[in-house]
Amino acid sequence: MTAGSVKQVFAAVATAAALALALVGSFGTGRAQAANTSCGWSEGVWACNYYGNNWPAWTELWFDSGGNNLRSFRMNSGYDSYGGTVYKCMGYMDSGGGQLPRPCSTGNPVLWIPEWRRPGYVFMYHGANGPRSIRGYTTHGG
Amino acid sequence: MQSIVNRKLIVSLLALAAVALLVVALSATSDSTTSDSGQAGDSEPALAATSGGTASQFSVLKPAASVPKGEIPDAVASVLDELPGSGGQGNGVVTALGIVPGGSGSSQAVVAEVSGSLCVFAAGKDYQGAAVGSCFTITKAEAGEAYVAVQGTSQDEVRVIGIVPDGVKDVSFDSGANGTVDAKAPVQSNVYQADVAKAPTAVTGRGASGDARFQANLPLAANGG
Repeated sequence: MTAGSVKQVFAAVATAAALALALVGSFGTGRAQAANTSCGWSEGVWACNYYGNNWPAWTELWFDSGGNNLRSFRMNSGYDSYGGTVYKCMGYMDSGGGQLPRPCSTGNPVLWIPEWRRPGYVFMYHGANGPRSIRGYTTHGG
Repeated sequence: MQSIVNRKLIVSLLALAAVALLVVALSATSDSTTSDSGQAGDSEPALAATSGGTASQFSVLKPAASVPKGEIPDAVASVLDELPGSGGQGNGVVTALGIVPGGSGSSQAVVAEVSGSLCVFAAGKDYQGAAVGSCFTITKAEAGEAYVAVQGTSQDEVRVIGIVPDGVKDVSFDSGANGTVDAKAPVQSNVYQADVAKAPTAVTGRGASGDARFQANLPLAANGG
């Protein structure tokens, strides 16, 4: 093997290793998501989903559209990818930093935000014994 | 000969790298920030809490049309209007309702059957004007696993509101799961409520003769759960 071919092989192996590391980072525990929200207009309200894939336990997952996250939220409800078996909590923080009581449960916990506490931010977290894929479903005014 | 082997090795590694790049790109696409429809579950159909059975074992429930709207707390009526269907798909259809008697301005509980799921909600001053609740499969409700633990109604405790099937008379709470009953709550119209310590808690439902009907474990935690 010539010195040139050794370098070529080394470069290719390094490239593959870097990409493998990128894959591990992409699918690993608690992947950070700068923008994890999808929204659509439906019958007079915005309905949005926000996601945490392999999200770590007891770590708040905030509605993050990558833009204006202060919204006139009406409802924040939670789902999981395991048939509703994961213990989840739904939270809300108003624009002044005050929070509402947080419903926690398996199944689909729901928090309805009273009008006088809007606008604000929504978040959720789960209490499984390891990372889980969770989703928040919200509605909010225009 | 050696040169050919090297080339094959390089080509194989580059092909592997290309596949890895493709997988990363596809993963990024699935995290899209906008979609045409915001209905829950559109982007992730695997997320589902399936419903099952009918709620015949919960006598608090009456046909929804027979319950006067004025009896339903405003916050609960609002959330029922916008609740999605089972598994977060489509619009929820409320088929049965039950107002738990004895409620007050501080706390009033409502049971609802929504698109085949069983839900319990509470509203009032204790919840700062919000409505809190959760929905479950009927199978889970029959097993005593349908409850919502509410953080923030008091400083050191968690309020637990649960649904149980007919025949369960009271529910006991073993905070810390150490074999000691720390609190007991009567069941009224298929619903119990209790304020318990923030610690993993075993919940046992018992019939009129004291026989255990179910046991469930609540993973309440001091660090936020």
